[in-house]
Amino acid sequence: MMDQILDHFVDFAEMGIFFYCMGIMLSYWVISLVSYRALKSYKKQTEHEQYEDIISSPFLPSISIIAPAYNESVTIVDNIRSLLSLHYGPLTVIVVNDGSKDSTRDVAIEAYDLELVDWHYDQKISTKNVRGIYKSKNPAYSKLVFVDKENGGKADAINVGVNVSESTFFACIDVDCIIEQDAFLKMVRPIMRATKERIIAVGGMVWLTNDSDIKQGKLINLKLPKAFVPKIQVLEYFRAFLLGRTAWSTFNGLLLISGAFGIFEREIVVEAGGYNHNTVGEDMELVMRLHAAMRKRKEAYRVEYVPEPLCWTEAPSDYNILSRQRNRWTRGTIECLLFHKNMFFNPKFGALGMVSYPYWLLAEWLAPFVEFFGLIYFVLLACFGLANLDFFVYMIALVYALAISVSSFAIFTQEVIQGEYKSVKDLFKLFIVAFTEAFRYHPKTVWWSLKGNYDFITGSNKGWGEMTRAGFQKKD
Amino acid sequence: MVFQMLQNIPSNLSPLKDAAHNLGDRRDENITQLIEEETLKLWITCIVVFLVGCTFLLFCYTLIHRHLKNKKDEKEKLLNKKYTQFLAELTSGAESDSMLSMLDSTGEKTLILDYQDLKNRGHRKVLLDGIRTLHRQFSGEVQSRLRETYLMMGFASDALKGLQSKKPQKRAAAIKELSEFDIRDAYSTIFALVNDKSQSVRDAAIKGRAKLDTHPLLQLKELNYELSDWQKSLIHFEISKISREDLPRLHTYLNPEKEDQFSFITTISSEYRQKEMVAPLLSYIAHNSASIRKMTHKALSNFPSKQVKEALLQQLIATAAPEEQKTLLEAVSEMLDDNDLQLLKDLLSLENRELVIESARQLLKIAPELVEKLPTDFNHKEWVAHAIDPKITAP
Repeated sequence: MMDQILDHFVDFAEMGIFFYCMGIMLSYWVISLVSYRALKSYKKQTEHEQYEDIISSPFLPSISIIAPAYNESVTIVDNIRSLLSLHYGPLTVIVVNDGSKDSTRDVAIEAYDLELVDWHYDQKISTKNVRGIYKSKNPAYSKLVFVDKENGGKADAINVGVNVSESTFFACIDVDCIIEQDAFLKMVRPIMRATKERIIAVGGMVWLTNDSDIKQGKLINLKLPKAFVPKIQVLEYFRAFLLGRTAWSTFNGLLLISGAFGIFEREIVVEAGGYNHNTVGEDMELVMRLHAAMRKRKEAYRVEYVPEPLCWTEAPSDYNILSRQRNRWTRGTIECLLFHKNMFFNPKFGALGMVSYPYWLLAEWLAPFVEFFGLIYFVLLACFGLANLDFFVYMIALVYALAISVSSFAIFTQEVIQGEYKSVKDLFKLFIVAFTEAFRYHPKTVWWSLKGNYDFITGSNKGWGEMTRAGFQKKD
Repeated sequence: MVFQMLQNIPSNLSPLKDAAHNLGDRRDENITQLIEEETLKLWITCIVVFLVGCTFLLFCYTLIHRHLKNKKDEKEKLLNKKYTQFLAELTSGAESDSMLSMLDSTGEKTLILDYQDLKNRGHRKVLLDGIRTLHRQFSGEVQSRLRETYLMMGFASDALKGLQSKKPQKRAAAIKELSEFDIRDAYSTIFALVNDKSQSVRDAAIKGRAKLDTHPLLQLKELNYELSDWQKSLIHFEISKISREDLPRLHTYLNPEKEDQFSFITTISSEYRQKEMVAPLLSYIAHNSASIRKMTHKALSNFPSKQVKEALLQQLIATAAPEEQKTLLEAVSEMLDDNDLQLLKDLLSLENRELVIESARQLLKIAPELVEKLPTDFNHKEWVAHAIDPKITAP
């Protein structure tokens, strides 16, 4: 009887793992092919688009850029300058100093000739105290609003910006990102072209600039990072931003808009209650809540995505910082999935509930467990002489082949559709990284994910962690 | 034979028979399992080989593609330089005779175009891009010369063929090109494509028609699809090139049956402020559609006058909807004066928070001595009391 039970368990486990892998493989390839098609279509549509024709249009939606800043004294002046130089008419730049411990505020006040003003706003979302709102005496910086507040975290800082903003949309960006000059003209394109559906949010593509040439807040020459850690993240960003999000937005099932670059309709965000302080995955949680709010309204809507590199940022350059980031992402994902568990296989939420949420739960969250415990299981079987070594080797080969094929497709898609990396050597290096990722890097990500789960369950790590930045490399 | 023997074994030897059966069954089971495992392994092997094969192909294709693209880009850079020289001579007013003799391969080579430039697709693309870039940047005689070159090189006939393409992207690209160069043969097709089922084609056709038609607004009456903000912006861009005197009368395009077009006309009316807009707008001030009313109120704010102010205030008093009251108040804000203080004070006593804040803002503008700064932690009842009587300390 015990033998039979054990037999059945072993079969179930082996077949379970096999079918799980097949399911993941199929889903990755479906996502890749759907996104390739969407990217080709987008490229053809926008190839000859003349965005400068609409720059002075009265139909451009007003946008406030909300840029939370914490301990950014090294880069704040350049970052603000970069934001103010964006080509977009009805734009306000709201920099929110989130109780920085360094001289961020004083540096900004001096550089931009700021003075304290009476700025009346309706506090629709409750936040920490605002110490003061500053505007520049210089009319050249009339678009700039600088808000100084008590420390309350990124979510709180953005909520302050949402309260202060008077625009129809707000853009949430990280202050140390470089935004393309015409980024917002491209980001509002889906909003302005929509007639049947309300576009409540637009996500943008974020790419990495480690070791690239930057001059006066502009990307001059994109290069592949030299070190392995940022280089592997380039590949990850290809898979996530280029393939993953493009595909999900096609089904209106996009669960996540990067906190580094996204546009949101202010009215809906206020109605939904603003960013949630109680999670470290506030960007994903907000998007899920916006979906829920619009479903409740029973109004046709979309969360769109612009698959073009419009925002450039710096990736963590060592494993310590990277591990903290991934730990936070894991905890954020779990929190969001728990907050919105009612979406799971709920037809009321359409593709979001029936496809996106289950995918995030079963593929993104569960995969590290399946990998880790699958390995433990095999080792145990081997100890008892029950391991089917052949089967194990075949499975490893299958998973490895899947991984390298998807990564290769991501590199291929980037080259054919966008072609941002001009060097054959750089592309070759990326392929090498893809082929070696399974041994050099992937076990670490599995470990970080498991640790993130452990930290979430035990509550031992709740914050963001220190993210030190070196600032962008400057040419000259 | 063994099996037959087993079947004939007497019943007192049945345990042996049973054991033999079990052995046979297990042997069959093992064989089945083995076959299944082998089949599975074969499948996995096939999938792995397929994936690795795809990876290899993608690897090779990507690297070769980048290598060839870099070479092509370098070649295009050189071609660009060559064509820039040619186009510079052209636009500077160089003798067209020598250029013509160059193009039909007679006479001495004074310019640098040759046969390959006319026939090679890649070369033609670079030349076309150069012509288009310069055509957008220049005007007058220079632009005419560029247009002549465009026609002589046969680009127009290529684009006209593109108009008939089944692929929407090709049709849209052809429309953009032909409308840039004002090719009359394309007019009727472009004009009709404003109602194409592809949105990209409609975008291009609407912009093209706005440029080519007698005036940009004529197409509004023929549009079957809803006008998006993007398309409105494209039409607006063409309108902005027309002088005020030549601009058509906007009020003739005010059509409350089509809210998208109504929104378009009322928005651009703020730029041009044609007096004839006032009367039709006033007729829509109490329209049964809330969105038409909202657009009307917003548009009227650009025509400050006693008549408009009274109409807006009347509607403000008549309507019960706080949202609409707020819009009306915003619309009339620039026209308010000291005579309207009491109305504003009355509005401060209403329940609707947004309306009270807006009223207070107006009060602050007109009579700042009555009101101190708005507190951000707004408690409107206490604030209202303070607003009316500044001796009461603000909360």
